[in-house]
Amino acid sequence: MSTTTSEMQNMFEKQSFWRSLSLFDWVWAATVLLGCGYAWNEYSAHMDNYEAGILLGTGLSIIAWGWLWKPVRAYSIAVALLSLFAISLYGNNLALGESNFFLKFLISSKSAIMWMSALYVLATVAYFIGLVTGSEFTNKTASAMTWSATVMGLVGLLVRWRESYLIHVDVGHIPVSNLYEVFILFSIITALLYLYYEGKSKTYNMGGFVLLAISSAVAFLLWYGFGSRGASEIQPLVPALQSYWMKIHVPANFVGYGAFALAAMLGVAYLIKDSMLKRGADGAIIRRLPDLDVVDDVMYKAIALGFAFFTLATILGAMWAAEAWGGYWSWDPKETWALIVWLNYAAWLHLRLTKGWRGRPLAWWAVIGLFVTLFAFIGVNMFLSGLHSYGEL
Amino acid sequence: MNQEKQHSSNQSAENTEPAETSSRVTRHRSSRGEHGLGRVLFSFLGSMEVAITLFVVVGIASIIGTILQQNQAYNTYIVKFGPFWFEVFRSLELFDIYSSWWFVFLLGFLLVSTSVCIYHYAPFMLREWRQFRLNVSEKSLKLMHCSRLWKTSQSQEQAAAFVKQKLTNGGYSSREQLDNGVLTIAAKKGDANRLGYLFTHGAIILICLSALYDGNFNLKLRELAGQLKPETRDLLASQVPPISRLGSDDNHAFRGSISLPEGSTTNIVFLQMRNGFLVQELPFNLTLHDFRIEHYESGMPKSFESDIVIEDLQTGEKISKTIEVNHPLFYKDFAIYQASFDDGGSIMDLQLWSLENGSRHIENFKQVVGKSRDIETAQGKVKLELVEFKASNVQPNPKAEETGHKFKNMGPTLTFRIRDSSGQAKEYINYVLPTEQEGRMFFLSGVRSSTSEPFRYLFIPVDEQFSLKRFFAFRSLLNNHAEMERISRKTAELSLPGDRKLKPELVEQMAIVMLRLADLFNKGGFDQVLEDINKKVPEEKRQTVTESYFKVLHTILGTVYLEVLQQEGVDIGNNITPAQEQYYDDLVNTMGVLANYDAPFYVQIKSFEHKQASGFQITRAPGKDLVYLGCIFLVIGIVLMFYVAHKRIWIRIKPVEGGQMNELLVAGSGDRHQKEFAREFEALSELLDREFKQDN
Repeated sequence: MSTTTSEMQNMFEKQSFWRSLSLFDWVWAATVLLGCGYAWNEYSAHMDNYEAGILLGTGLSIIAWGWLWKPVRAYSIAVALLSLFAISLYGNNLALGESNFFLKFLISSKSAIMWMSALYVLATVAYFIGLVTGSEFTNKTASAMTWSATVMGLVGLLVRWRESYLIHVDVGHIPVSNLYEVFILFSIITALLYLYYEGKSKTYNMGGFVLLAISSAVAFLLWYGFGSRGASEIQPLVPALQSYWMKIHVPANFVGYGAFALAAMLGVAYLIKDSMLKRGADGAIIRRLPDLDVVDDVMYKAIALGFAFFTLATILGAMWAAEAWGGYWSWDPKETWALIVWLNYAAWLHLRLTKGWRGRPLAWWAVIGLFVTLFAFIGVNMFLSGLHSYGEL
Repeated sequence: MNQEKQHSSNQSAENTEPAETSSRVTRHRSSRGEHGLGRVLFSFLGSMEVAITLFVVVGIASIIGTILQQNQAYNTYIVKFGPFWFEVFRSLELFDIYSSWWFVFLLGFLLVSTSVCIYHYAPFMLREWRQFRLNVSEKSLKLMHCSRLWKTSQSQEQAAAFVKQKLTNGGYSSREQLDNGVLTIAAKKGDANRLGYLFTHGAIILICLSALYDGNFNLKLRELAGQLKPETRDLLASQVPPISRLGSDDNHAFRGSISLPEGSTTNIVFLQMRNGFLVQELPFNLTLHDFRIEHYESGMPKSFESDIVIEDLQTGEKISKTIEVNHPLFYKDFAIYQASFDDGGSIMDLQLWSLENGSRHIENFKQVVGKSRDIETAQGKVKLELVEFKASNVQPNPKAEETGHKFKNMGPTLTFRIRDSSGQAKEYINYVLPTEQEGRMFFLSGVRSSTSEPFRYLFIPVDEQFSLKRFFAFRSLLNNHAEMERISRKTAELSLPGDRKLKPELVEQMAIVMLRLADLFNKGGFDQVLEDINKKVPEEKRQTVTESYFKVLHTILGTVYLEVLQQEGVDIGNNITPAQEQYYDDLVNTMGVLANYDAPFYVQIKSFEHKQASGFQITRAPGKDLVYLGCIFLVIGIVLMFYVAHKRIWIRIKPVEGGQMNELLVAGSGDRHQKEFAREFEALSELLDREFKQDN
């Protein structure tokens, strides 16, 4: 509490945001800009104006992200170093992925994803052990494992991006084009959102619940990607997906999905604690679960963030559709389900903000909302046919 | 402990906030002087309950349209649901749900509800945004849960200056007012939050109205007025009557499609409407010069490109462009998209080889893909329908390891159906070029009885000229009774050399057996021969009879084959080559299973002229830019609502103890961010404590 107050105290003292930035913050910004400059220097010939804009936008966003949430700086640097190491090991020879020690066992895309999967599952277990025993050390270990898994996940995606170009220049594309790839994206975005709130609310005890959702995604990923379907193989893009829009539409969507998943898992934690308290149960574990109104508040923040990104993603999708399919809205099943998800959370937010609803009913609604979201995310591809059929099961 | 208390007090405060809001709104509403039924209806339409209900209902209605495939041919639905349910669904407009009356009505209802809501709240939100609320009472300040008192010996101006400085640092803007010696400072920050409400709700209205303007609502209205009628017959565009046509200036928004063969020009598109269509005229001519498909190595399409030219019918202006998926051509408020592709009437030069018993018929003609033709057969007339021509067929390469190529192009194929007089059809797929199997070349032809089955393939061996001549010459000879009598007699004599003079009746008998076996084989392959044996020979003798019959059969077939070779002019001398021997084996194998192929003729594609058609979608959506504007408002609004916290602080500085001291009453509220505000208030309190400490 004392730290928060002293942070806040600055608020009414003469100060500026720029002066609150440390030397590391500036080094960070310079590093990111240098990286963007290098990318521009190297690849500008292959970029159109939109892609140049996306590069600049990404650079600035990463800088701002690192300034507002400090751990991002270390995270990004770790990801960048590992990815660059993997890329330099590959050189121009994709076959090295099978023979080079580091690539084969650590940082080729598939290996990195395997590490990510294992670490997320271990972190889930560790968070629950931490919740039961109350061991601070276990909790910190769980958190560290989640961070490492998230590093490996993003490294896996970035290296996969490079690998796709090593197969053939024609085949190369950002790895957000099929269910295997977006499930990795989903896992790391959900984890990052969780880690943000973990740092902010200074409690580890929601971790197990959130990581449970991520572990389920990992289970699906392993079954889908490495089972008989072989979805982990890199496939070239169909013409409809060959667009810069994919680079922004898909990630924005997955911030939305990730935030909704986070909210739903917090809803589960809320309902469990609330039911136990109502039954008069009182034990160390229940007390260790965060306060109901803290859970409730983070749940609201997650849904608000998810809603903002989901709205943006749907709009970007509409603009893409206007370029690819002949209209910004075609009532395609995926579009329609996006509208349903949007209406669902719009109703949730109206009930909370205008009607003043809190607690149990909204927690239930958030949990049910996840199933609606899941249907929009996977169900549509599984059961319905339409223009969005890129990752059938 | 302290913290928990604070939380619970915050929560109750947050709950009271909306109530406060609504009471103010009620006051405002009544001042507009609505009474009675109108007022009840008005407050009903603007209520949150209606809005939430509409969200849910629109959501559920939308689900129906994702489960039930939209805009299919009516026949498909009749087959699926039966005539009764088809009629029910059709009358509910479930086959085109999103432009059905009731769905548009629901969206209109949502629009009205949102508008009424804005009408109610906008004045309040605007006041909240602009006003500082200087005339707040001391009592209500004391009732706020973030509220404290300080006393200071500093002068009113001094204290005010200090507080204002701190408020400015904290990002607050303030106004002050001196009333009866009491100085009130009202400060606020994050007031743009209030604009968020207007932006989001206004955006929804803007988006819905613009989208409605772009939709086909106006066409439905005109249909209702009897000015339009969708055409349901299969007519040429030029024959469509005026009631189903729209002039280029008649319709401000549409989404139509057209398939255009290479080298042709159009100035119309078709608009689908339920089970019919309308013809929409365009103000320009659209010409397709060339259509190209590029492929990845795996045969997956990499790009679809059309070289098009449009020529404005009024100005004569010409624009040439290559359009592809994701890169449409925008012209005025029209957009031309690469949507699909089709066969544009490729011409197949075909040769039919009869496969019927006794027939040696060969027929040559040219036929366009997509058309059908009557063919006379022994079983009566059949229809040959050419379904699809594919210029390439890439499949995984069985020899990937040796050749280093993962995929292999099997060349062009023609898919066709043969429909008998009862309407039953079988589907066939024929490869244009012979393909290699185990080092030999074969023509492949697949057959299946329904599209859900996989194809079963027939392999017809090719001769040295890569042609089917030898195969069909062999068949033709088997079908020639007179020749076969001669050959079987000759073969019988040769196979019984010593008996020729001794037992002529034995030779004669052998010749008859040979002729019969060859005939059986010709009709139904080895199966037919075995069946015959099973029918006529007692079980204990079957094995030996079968063995000797097959020997005899091969002898006669071998002789027929040698005759065929001789007819071709092949010099066989005393020995035939291993390749010719291999050909014989393949030939006999193929002949043996020909009965299962079950077609009256084999279709050989001698040559073809490939002509493609490109499918375009042409749209006119003048509301698009307004929709995008609405989207920008929506995003701005959401950011303002969630990420800009509206906070207010009031400071009342009142002289007390006869003007010796000044009392500061500081209070504030954080609207939807009470928790954050409580911390902010605490931070401010600490500063005030330090400044005014000595006086308390």
